[in-house]
Amino acid sequence: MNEQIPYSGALSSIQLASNPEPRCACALVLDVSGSMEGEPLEELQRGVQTLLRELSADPLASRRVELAVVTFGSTVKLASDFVSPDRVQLPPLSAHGGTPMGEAVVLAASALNARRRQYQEEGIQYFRPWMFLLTDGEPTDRDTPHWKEAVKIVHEGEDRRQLLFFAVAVNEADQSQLNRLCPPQRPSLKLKGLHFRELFVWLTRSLKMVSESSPGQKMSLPPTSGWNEIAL
Amino acid sequence: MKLPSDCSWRWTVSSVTGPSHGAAGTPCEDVGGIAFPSAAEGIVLLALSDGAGSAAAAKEGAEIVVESWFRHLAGILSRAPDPCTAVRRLGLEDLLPLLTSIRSRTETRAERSGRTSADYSATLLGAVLTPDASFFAQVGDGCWVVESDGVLGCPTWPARGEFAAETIFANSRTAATHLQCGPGPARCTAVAGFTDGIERMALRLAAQIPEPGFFGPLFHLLKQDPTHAGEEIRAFLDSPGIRVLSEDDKSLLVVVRDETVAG
Repeated sequence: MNEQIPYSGALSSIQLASNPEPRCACALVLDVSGSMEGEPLEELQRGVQTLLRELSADPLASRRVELAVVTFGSTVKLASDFVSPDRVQLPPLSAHGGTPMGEAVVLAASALNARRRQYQEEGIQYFRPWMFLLTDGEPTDRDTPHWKEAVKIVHEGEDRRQLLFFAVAVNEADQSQLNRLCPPQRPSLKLKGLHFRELFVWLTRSLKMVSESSPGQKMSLPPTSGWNEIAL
Repeated sequence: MKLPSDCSWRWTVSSVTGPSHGAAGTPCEDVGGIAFPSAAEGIVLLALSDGAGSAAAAKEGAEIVVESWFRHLAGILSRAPDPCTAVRRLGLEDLLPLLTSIRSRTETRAERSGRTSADYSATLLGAVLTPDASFFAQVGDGCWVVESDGVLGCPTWPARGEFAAETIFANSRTAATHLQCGPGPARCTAVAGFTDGIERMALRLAAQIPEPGFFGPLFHLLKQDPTHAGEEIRAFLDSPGIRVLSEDDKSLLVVVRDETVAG
């Protein structure tokens, strides 16, 4: 649409107000535990690159979506704090250690909250934030306060419509454990093989839809059939 | 106060379908209009409504809102011994029956069509202008902007929830608690009402004031060239530079006092 001839009519002297774009913060919470080593991790990284490329290419999503990446394996860390898709510089991921999923969700939630406070301070409008978790294992911190807190964050956030949480199970991930974390209305989805690319293309489309959404719009996301083992 | 009996207004309503709606084959779900109640010379009623993007019968909902505004206000004016005085005395309590009527009309329509009331969700922007008084009302987002004595102001402001793209609708149960209404300037020289697709380019959101650079040329155009103003505004709203700023439907209602008529 940018190739069209620019407007040059009687209203060409109009000056538009300059307001910051409303933002949609999305935290990717990625499993880099030892079992992800090899092909799964490579596919995951390629998928993330697809997501960044596609979002950067979209005129609205590139201005509105902000992504952060939390990784969990031998440590839990904020690998990349919230920036626009073209500015995400994800260090090469390596797979080690256990699956401290609860701690990762808690860290992602705290990053989302910090971002939200920043939006509020700067008077920037924002969409409901997203958290998107990918794992191939079962939580190894289930007996710690982190896990309990993570479950509370997701369930309360969803109930109060403050958060949209998605979990995707890779390979042999324990979905029954994962579903305890998930909001009851949106159980975990199972990735077909290592179709990370299709998954991230779906996420791109979904985030684009949010960034274009109109008042009161209900979330009706694109079908997950390209990557989800059981079609919803 | 002297009442100019020959005050008249120039007006135009322009709607364009948002690029996202266009791509999905959804029609423009904004409805807007202007009415001149027969019982009250020199008085003009304005209404605009934005059907919720998610609602199945959004356009019908918006039509109900606009039609209800015209019907309700025309009723009040026709019953008043002096319609201009009635406009000066308009207040919240006069509009509560309007919201009740919008809700019951959408419920009836929903029942008949096997839908829910929420399927008809739509915002309300309503105004009444007389030669020497004005009144504005709003439920939800979008906004009214008024020019009087060369000064721009907003008698209402877009209402929204914590998150972008969430708002209140005129047929919701809580519409009355979110109703903004009150008198505007006595002598409006120009008025613009618009749906949320235009907010970000027409309002300085942090300062909560209208963008003068937006409304100056707009009002000037309608004053100078009323015949082509509508066409120009549509071309402008549909231009690539504007389409890339907002995916939403965009509607803009503009009214200017006709200065060529002695008033």
